[in-house]
Amino acid sequence: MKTTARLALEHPMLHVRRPLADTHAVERVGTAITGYIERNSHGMTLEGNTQRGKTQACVHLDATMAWRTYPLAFCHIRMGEHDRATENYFYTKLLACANLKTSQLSDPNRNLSRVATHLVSAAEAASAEVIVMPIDEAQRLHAKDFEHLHTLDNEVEFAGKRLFVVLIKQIDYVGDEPESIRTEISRHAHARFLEDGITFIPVFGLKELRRYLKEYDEYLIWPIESGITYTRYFAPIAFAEGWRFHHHAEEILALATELMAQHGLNYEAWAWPMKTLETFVYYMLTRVAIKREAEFRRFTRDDILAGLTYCKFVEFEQACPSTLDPRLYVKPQAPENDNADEKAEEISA
Amino acid sequence: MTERGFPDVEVQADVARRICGRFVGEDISWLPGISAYGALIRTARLNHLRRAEFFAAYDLRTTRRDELSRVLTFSDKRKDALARALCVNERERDLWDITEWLPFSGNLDWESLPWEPRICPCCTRLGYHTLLFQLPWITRCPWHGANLIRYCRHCARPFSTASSSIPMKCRCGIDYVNVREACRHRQSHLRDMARWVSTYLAWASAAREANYLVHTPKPDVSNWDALGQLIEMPAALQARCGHARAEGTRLHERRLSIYDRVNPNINGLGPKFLLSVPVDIDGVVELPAPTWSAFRHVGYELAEKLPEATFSDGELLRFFAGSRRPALRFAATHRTGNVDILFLPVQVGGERGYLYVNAMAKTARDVVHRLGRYLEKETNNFDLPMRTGMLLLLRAYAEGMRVILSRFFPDLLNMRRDRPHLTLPWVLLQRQAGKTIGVKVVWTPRSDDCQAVLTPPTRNKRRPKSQAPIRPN
Repeated sequence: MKTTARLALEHPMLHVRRPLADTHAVERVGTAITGYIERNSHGMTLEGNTQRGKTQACVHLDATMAWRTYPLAFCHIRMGEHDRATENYFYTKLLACANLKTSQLSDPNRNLSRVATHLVSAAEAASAEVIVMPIDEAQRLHAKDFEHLHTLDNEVEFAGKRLFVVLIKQIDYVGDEPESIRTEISRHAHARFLEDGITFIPVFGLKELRRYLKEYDEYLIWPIESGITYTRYFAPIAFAEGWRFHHHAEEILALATELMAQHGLNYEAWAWPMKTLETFVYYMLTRVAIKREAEFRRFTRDDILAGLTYCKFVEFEQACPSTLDPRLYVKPQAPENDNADEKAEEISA
Repeated sequence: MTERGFPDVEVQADVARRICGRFVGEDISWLPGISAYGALIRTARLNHLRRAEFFAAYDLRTTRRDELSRVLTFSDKRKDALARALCVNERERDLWDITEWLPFSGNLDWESLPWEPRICPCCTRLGYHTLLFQLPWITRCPWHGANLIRYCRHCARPFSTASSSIPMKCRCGIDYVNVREACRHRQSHLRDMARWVSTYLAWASAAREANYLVHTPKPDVSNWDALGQLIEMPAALQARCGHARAEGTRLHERRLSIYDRVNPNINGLGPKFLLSVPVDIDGVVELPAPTWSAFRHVGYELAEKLPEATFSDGELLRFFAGSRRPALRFAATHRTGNVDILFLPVQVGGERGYLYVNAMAKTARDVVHRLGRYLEKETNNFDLPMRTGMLLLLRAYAEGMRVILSRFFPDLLNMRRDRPHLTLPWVLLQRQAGKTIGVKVVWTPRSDDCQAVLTPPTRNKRRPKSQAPIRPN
């Protein structure tokens, strides 16, 4: 059987790259992007600790349409470490990220034009006026790179489109930064791209965890249009009897905080990183629920503990730079619309 | 993975697409009927590539003198390289083959036609070019109605890539591509374009089965008009893209049909007669008896128009042999008969007749020979191709005779109708149910005309002019 055909028949949860579920965090990023675009802003920062899911949030937003108030085109850029912030390097990097051919004979001006044409072409293909450009590892940008970004912004604007840059910054980035990174970014570039921003907090508190797990219970469906949710697929009998994954949210969170307390980790102001949370869900569904088949009714405490061990929950928290240096840790705060779900449930009830 | 563990072709293509760099605007699937040259213009301009970078970008190896539009139309190797670079699918790649656009079969030698990139200024503005624009019977853009042009509107330089390193940007500074507009996917005429292209291709495909082209491979500028006049599109298509007919001068054409009155003399000809006409060598062809009168008639017609005391006695007898016309009413000149003139008419020896084919242009003989080869495949109804062959032979004979006689009788050069001139015949045979039902012949004047024949070569000093072989070749 052809590889593509085989992949199409397998459940998405069994693929290496598993589908992403909606979270409050992703929604917050989406709302921020549309809000800042509405306010005529040219860029925003998206800051957060490592492995929290900032980049994946942008990828997820690119793949979904419901959050968009305008038609948007996406162009993802991944910055590499570089010593000299030359114009040619910057534009060639953008071309390389877009998987476009680069030429040794090209000069910076032609590369700039090519990048601008690519962005405009992408916008036209999506019938969009605005191009959202998430730049991953934006902490690696030099002060001079912002000038190049500024030039590109002007070029795109001249072509009748708007560029909106999302600078994805890793706050706990620890490394030997070149001197030019530490130099101060010019005021006009700061005002243009760095004035607005949000902090990325992955899954914070019980409500957000419950909502995340509920996605697997209610919204993620496979095969497409079959109405079979992921949870129902992996635990059909328990699902039919009324069991849902999100019923365990409180228990899971309690066990996770308990584990953290046992290992002397700060659990009071803590948000669950997507890396471990998604792996935990994957383990629970594909290794626990489906293996027991008819016998499965609900997860036990041991199952949850096994899941947390599998996703290396404690090890990851211990290894995080923010754990080692608390100054780098972004303290999550209850978002403004924290009770929105609750209110919505009340209304619907 | 397949059973042996090799990745599938689809996966390989996907991987190749990810590894190899892409181009801005490389997705040409939404542009119906775009040519390889069009794809090159579009991607090169959107990616700001110059000719020097084409090899690095597209793996397209060309010399500086190569005309890219020509190379990308006729070189399969280069087209494949471009298709690989742009990850073009099979259907789009097929449309880069010009035979898909031709409404006739038969081996058209494109070397015989002048070739320059021909564009619609409105389409080029969007980075679009199609092989349709390179066809002689299309004179206007079917979607914009604009006349197709070959030269810069400002400086009249041809749109050849050899003259500029940036495609469709003339050296005078006029840029025919608007990069910003070329980025736009929302073209209002796209749907109409797709419909028209599919209609045209459907017609061309059906017509290819029915029409067969026979022509001489001699390159000539006027061939373009001949082919343009030869092809007739359905009214619905023709109304949109014009026709060479609308451009003024019409070439001489003749139509033959199975419904025409059949000359009984033709029925006596064998199917091998046309093949017996020598092409590459000068010599004689044996004429079947039923054709003698037709060839003789050509001689009478011309001889009668010449002034008196032009031919000698012997020449008059040869020209008017077997004629009921009173040849002797002409006063003969008192000189010995010229060998070149004496061998022009049909030579009869016993019950056989012969004709020296040096009186006929080689190009015309070539066409007749090709027609003979077509006739070999024709299992039934070879009457119409045979009539066409005779028509071509008679006209070639008349033209050749004028050229040769004008050498000895300069008065011919002053005759308006009968002054020497040579033409190239283009023949389109229409078939139906395996039977030739109609023929259209267009004669196009040779641009070099017969001046080369009339003026003896200056380099050849060894042979006196009077003895130089006279051959309208």
